[in-house]
Amino acid sequence: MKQEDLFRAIGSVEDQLILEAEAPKTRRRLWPRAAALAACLALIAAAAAALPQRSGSTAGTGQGTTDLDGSEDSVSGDRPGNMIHSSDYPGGTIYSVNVDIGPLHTLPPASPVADDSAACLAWLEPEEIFAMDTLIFRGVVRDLQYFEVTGGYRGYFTVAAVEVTDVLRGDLDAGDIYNIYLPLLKGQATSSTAGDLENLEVGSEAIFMPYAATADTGITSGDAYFCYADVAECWFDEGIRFLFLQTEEGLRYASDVYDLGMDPSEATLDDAAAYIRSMLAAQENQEGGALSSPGAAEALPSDGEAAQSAEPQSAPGRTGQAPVNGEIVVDTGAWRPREAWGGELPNAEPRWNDSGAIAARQAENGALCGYPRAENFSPAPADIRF
Amino acid sequence: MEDREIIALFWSRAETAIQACREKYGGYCRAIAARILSSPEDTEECLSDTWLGAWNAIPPQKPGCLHIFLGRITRNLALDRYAYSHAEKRSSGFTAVLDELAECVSGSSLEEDFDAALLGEAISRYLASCKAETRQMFLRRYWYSDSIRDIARAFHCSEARVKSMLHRTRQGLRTYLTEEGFTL
Repeated sequence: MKQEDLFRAIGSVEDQLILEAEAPKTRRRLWPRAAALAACLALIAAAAAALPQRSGSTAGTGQGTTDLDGSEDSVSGDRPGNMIHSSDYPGGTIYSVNVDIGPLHTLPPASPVADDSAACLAWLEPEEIFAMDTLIFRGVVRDLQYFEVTGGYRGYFTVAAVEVTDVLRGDLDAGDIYNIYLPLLKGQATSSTAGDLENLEVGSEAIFMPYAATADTGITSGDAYFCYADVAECWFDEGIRFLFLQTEEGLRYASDVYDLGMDPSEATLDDAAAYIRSMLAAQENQEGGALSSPGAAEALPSDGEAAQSAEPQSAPGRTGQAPVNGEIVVDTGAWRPREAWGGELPNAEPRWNDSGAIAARQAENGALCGYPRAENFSPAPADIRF
Repeated sequence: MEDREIIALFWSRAETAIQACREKYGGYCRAIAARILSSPEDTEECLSDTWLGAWNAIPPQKPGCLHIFLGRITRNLALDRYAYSHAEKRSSGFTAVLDELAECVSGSSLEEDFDAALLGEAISRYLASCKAETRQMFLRRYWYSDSIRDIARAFHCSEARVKSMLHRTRQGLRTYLTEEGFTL
C-alpha cells in the first residue's frame, strides 16, 4: 500500500469524526499563557526602563490610534495590561468565503458611538429571551483579542476567551475556556446595541448568554461570507439584554427587562444566576406541561412548521408552545440565512443611527425580535488603513 | 440555504444546486484543495470538478452531511491532480503529509481486491478508540491536510506536541490495522 492509498482511505472515515475535528473543543491551560504574559510584561517593563520616554507616534495629527481605554494617541504597547495580542488565532478558515481574518495590532481612531442604543430594540419579555436558543453561563474573561476582516467583507471584531465557572444552560463544561465573538471594538461604534459587551475587560466576571456559532452563523456581504464559527465557539448579537456584568459599581444588566426582585443597585451575579435558574426552571415546567397535555405529541410541528411558529403573529401565545426535539424553536432574529434576503446586503447598508432604514428592515423581515441583525453591523470605514 | 434544500435541488436536477454549493461551501472546498495543490489554477479546476462530481453523484446519493461529502470529493480529486502534477517534483506542504503517512505503509502496490471503504471503516474504529484530542489532531492533519503550525494554534499547544501525538497515533494506527488483517 502507498501513502496516497492510505490518505484516500482516511477520506472515508465517518462524518461524525470529521465534524468533531472541525470544531475542536479544547481545554486551554492557563498557566502557560499566564507565564507567557508575565514574560511579556517583564520584557516590556525592562524595555520601558531602558529606553527614553517616547511620545505618541501620531500626536497632533488628529488621526492617532486609540488604546483600549479609549484615550487618543497612545500606543498599545505602552500599557502592558492593555496590549493587543492576537497570537492565538488558529489561522485558516473552514466556513468563511472570500474574506481574510487577521489580528488587529492597532485600534483605529475612535468613532462616535451611535446614540440610538436600546431604542432600536423591540421589547421582549424575559420569558421570550430565555426561550431563545442561547447558551447561558457564568464566567471570567481571561483574554481579549482583536481582529479585522478584509476582503469581500470588511469589519472588526473582538474575541473574548471566557473561562466558564458555572453552566446555567448548554453543553458546556465548567473550567473550560470558550471563545466568544463580540461584534465590536472597544471605543468603536461597531454596534449601538453592544451594551456592556464594550465594557468587558480581562478579569471581568459576568453571566453570558451567547448563541452557539455554527456554519450558518455569520455575516454575508455580496459573495463574501464571514462565519463566526471560524473564530469562536459562540457569538453575541447584542449585549444589552444578554449580559449580566459585575462591576465595581454593581451589577450591570437590563433592569428594565429583568426583575430580580430587589433594587438593581444591590443585585449581584449570584442573584442574577438564581433568577435565571428560576426562569429556566419555570420554562422547563411549561414545556413539560405542553408535552404532557393531551394531543401535544400530535401537535409537534415539523422543522419547517416550527420555524413558522415563531412568526410574530404567534408570538404572544408562544408560552408552552410545542417543542421540537426537546427545544422550543424560536426565531431569534439574530441571523437569517442569506437566501432570506436574497444573498446580498442592501445597497444602502443601514447604520444604527439610521432609524428609518432599521424600521424598514424590521418590517421587511417581519421579525419577532426587532433588534439589529448581525449582517447589519456597520463595516469598517473604507478610509481606515493599518 | 439549508443543506437539505441544496440536496433537493440536486435531486430535482436544478443547476442552481451547483451555484448554491459554490456559494455556501466554495471557501471550504477551496481550502481543502489548496492545501493539497500548490497551483491556484489547479485548485480552481479541482473545485469545478467537485461541483461536477457532486452533480453526478447526487442522485443516487443523499449525503447526510453535505459539506463533508463535497470535501471528500474535493480531496480525492485534488489527490488525483496532485499525483499527476507532482509525478516528478514533490515539494509542497502536502508532500510532508504523505511522507508522514508513509510510516504506516509498505509503499508497495495494492492488491486487486483492496477495499478502501473497508480500510476507512477500520480507521474510523481506531480513531474512535483514541482520545478526542488525538483523533481531532489526526484528522486535521490527514483529512484536512492542515499544517502542524495551524493545528498547534487551534489546539493551543506546541508544534512539538502535535508532532509527537501524530507520530504516536500513526504508530498505533499501523499496529491496529495490521492486527485487523490489513496488508499495509
